[in-house]
Amino acid sequence: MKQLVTGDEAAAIAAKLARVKVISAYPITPQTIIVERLAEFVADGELDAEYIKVESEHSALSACLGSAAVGARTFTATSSQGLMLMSEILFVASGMRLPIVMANANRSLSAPLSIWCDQQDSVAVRDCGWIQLYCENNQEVLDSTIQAFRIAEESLLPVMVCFDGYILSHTAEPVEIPEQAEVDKFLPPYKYPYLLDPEKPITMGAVGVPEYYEEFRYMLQEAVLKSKEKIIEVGQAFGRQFGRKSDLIECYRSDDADVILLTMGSLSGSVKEVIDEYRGHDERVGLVKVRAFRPFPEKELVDSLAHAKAIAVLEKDFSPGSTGALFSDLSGTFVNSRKSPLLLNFICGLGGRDVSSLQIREATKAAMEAAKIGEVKKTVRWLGLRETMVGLKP
Amino acid sequence: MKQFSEEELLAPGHRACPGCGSILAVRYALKALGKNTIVCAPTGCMEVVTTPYPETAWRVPWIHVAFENAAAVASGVEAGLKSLGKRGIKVVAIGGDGGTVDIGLQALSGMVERNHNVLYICTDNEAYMNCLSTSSLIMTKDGLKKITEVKEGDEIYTFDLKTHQPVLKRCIGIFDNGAREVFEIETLHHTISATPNHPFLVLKRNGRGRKNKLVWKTLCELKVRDRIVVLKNLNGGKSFKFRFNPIQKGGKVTHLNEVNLPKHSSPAFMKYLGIWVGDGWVRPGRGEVGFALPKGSNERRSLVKLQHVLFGNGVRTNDMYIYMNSVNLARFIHFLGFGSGAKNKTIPPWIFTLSKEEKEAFIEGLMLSDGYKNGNSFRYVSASHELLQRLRLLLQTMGYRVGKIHWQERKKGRKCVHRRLLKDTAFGYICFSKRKKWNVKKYPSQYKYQNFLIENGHFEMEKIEKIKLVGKEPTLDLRVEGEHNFIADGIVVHNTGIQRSGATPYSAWTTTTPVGKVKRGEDLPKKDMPAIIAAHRAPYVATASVGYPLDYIKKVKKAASIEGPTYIHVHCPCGPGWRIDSSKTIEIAKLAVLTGMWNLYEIENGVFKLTFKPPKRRPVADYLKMQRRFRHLTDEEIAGIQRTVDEEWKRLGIS
Amino acid sequence: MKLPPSTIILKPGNSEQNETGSWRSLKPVVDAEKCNGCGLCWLYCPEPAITKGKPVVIDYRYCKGCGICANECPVKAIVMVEEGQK
Repeated sequence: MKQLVTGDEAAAIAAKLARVKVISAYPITPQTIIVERLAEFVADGELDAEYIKVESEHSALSACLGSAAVGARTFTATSSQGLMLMSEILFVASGMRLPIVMANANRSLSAPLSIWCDQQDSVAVRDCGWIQLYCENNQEVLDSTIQAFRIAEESLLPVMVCFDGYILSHTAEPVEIPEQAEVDKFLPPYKYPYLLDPEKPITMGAVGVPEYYEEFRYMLQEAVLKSKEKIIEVGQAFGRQFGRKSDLIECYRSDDADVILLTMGSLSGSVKEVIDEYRGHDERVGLVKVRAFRPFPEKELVDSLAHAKAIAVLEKDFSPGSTGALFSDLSGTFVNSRKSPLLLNFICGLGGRDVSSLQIREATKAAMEAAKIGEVKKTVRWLGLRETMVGLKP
Repeated sequence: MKQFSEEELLAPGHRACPGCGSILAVRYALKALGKNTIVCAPTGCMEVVTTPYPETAWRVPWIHVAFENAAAVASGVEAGLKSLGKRGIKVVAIGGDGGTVDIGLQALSGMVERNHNVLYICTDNEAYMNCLSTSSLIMTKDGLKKITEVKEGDEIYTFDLKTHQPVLKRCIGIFDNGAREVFEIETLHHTISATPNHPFLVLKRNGRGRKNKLVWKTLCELKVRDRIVVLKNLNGGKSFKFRFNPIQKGGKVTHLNEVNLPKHSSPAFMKYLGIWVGDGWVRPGRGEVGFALPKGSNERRSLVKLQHVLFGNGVRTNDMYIYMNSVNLARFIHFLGFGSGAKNKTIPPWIFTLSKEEKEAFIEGLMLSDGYKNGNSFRYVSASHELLQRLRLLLQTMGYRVGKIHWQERKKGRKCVHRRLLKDTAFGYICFSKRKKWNVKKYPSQYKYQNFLIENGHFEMEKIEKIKLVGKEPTLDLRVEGEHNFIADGIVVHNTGIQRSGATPYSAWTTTTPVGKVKRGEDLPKKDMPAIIAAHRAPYVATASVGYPLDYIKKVKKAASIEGPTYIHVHCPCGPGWRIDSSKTIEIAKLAVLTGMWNLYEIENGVFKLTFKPPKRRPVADYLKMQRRFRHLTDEEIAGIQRTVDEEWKRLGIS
Repeated sequence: MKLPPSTIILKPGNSEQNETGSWRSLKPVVDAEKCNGCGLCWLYCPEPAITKGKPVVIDYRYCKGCGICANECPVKAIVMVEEGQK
């Protein structure tokens, strides 16, 4: 049944359909609607769950670990500063291999203080060991969140579902909401192989002495790498049941493209429109959209990008002193290849700044020029920057 | 006695210090709670000593997540059980004052405010716990090892505080304490790096006519010219047995290069190795052992003689070099652990376990190749810094005086020892000499004044020459059973440090509230945790002490039976932290209550009730004087503390 | 021996395999005649390494030699002696 819902609402509805038993979350713009909707569901008896009104994000995630460890399906949501506050526990959650699902409404990081969208927050914690999925539209927010529970519980890894703050979180779109019975068929009840239970007492979270630490870290790496298969498997199963399948990446008109744009998140939607314009003029341009950022879909990206002459990576984040994160991860995959397309990085959309089709065309043109001359004059460019204000122009 | 359940839900074999008060608090709590409990713990002593993977002392379900969030994790566990309809399981958080009173306060406040059905027990030993830099070299039974190479179970040389002799003790754990600021202490013959809160054994002069004593002081309390205990000489040692399997006949091994490898060390072999370290190389793949010894030199003559005595077969020579072809000899020398390449050679740990005679032979060999006499002392030159570092410590265990490592850069063509440098090189040298024997009998008190440990065959005092900050380094904490000290880089160091928490009582010494000229210990009173939790309107709050286990267990049972957030704050003496003897834990816990410095009470639904009143309150001095963390207190300061206790009793309405 | 996915320990109380008795430099010796079986030493032992009875029995596999039992015994039935002595 199609309903007009915002991204936040879609995430809340997905958590309800997944029959979560414990919600432990602290409100922060632009995720607040998620926790408010869930509070309403619980208050009305539509969702039978314990709602912990934690006093901070750090405690929010800590409580999630506790409830996951006793066998309750657990959900939380946050954004930006909250994600940073709980960052210590993000690493603990993946190290303890507890399957928690978190919705993250992408918001830029202070300072300067900003409540508007960019992807710096989730990108900053890409090393925390969580699976990271990015959504292009609200339908994907709902679908990915439901799938996240199955991916998490079958991989024994926490999953964060990221979607752009305001652009998706607060914008209503028509979304197909599946029936509860259908979701029940798709998501079996939560089962974790190790539970805190007085009948079978176990110790969780022991000290990782040097004799064992490296092995546990290796197993975490193996688990995250292996989750690629799980993400594909669950995406296909979802497609069979609900008619919409998901994958690690999505290719849009890129099979024969000379220039390919690479993005994550809602930007993909805007880029698709520009691609269609170019194709209308018989220009061979395409898009590859990254859905799973962690695990990094190395093989899939190389397969879909290697044939192109130039790749324009557009992203809403950067690592000060270096390039954007998606760009540096991508360069790593091509580093040992004999034949690599030229790679260009475009930083855009920071702090909620609109990425217009003009900017997207600017990026595409730069990539086309590089492809023509066979050389990248400037690797990293900032789109939409007002150069007079930063002293680049008088 | 019947009121104490027989069941032990905490197994022995945990690594708590002997006499630990906090582990008793855990043991008693579990007796009161029984099997149907889930325990959530923050990072802390109780977590670290009970769960070093793969061992656990817990016989109930237990989870640890991080330092500041035990109460939040417990909230999640409670909510999870509730959501699943699982009844009858009690959720308990057990955390130290470290993880509760300061960094853990927010999560605890949230848990109480939300009315979770959780009992929170704070085991209060009134402080938090510390480290050596990871480059330290530790004297173990198997020889000198890097602190990062030391394993649990290794036997380590420690300083026996009663007899002032070296004694071997087992290493019971190694913990990584992350990157910390590290300082370097230099004495005339020793150098060590450690964090500012690391304790060293220092001489304290108590004035004319009074006895001088050895006391522990942290690095930040040390001053230039303080005298610390260092290692002088380690006796004993014997021939080292080699466990090496030579390749049998076949392949490259022909009768031409069959050689009888020594089964254990001997002076002749050690001298041979000494020469090899300076002038030799090995190519195991080619089965070649070579020496760069020019024709006609003394060294070549000595080597050929040794070669004959040890292995019997001949050598190939030319003007500059001597070669031996033997696959097994090459592999053997490689196996001995000296490393390869001029810059990377080192002294393997087993050299340190040899007898004096064999060590001397090794030194003789070294001196033949890269050493020379300089006035009244000897010098040894090497391009490997690690070799010089370890050689320095080796010489010290043999009773030599050794100076610092001097490092220099020299251009190509410059003469170095007896050859010319083929290219620009960086290398170092050390000077060493035999000790002059002091006639202690002639001027005993003067010599004793100069060196407190002069009559000691193994240790001595050395003045600190320099203390400087070297920067941030990764640090490790080594725990040694019993003695709680060990010898690192030749200096005696302690293995536990104590930092203040919000629960540290007024005037107590800790490493972050040390006693100095301007400040004298902790200058703030203890945070009143029971009052804070009671202000949240928790239905039950209580204090307890491990000195009164019956009272404590009754309170745990009561708190556990109440639906809602409950809090018990239990006083736990800590031997290393309070500087008391391990046998006095219970005695001091009782004294705290008998002097009024710790009171046993309940606050049930806001109503205060004392559960034990000492018949005649003893003076606080009885309690304070037993602990070295308070011994800097003057009579006046003690009187001040007495007044605060008197006032507190008045405030609580106890007469 | 394959490890579990994280530092989870399935055998409760397996720290028993770690015999901490080797830590001792002093060891408690019980005078069977004097011991009245009150059990206070059992109560105060941090390991615990004492079994109740008359006399009590010290479990030397785990006793760390802290001396609390000797210090607290109301009839002074326990003395601490040098490890290695009878």
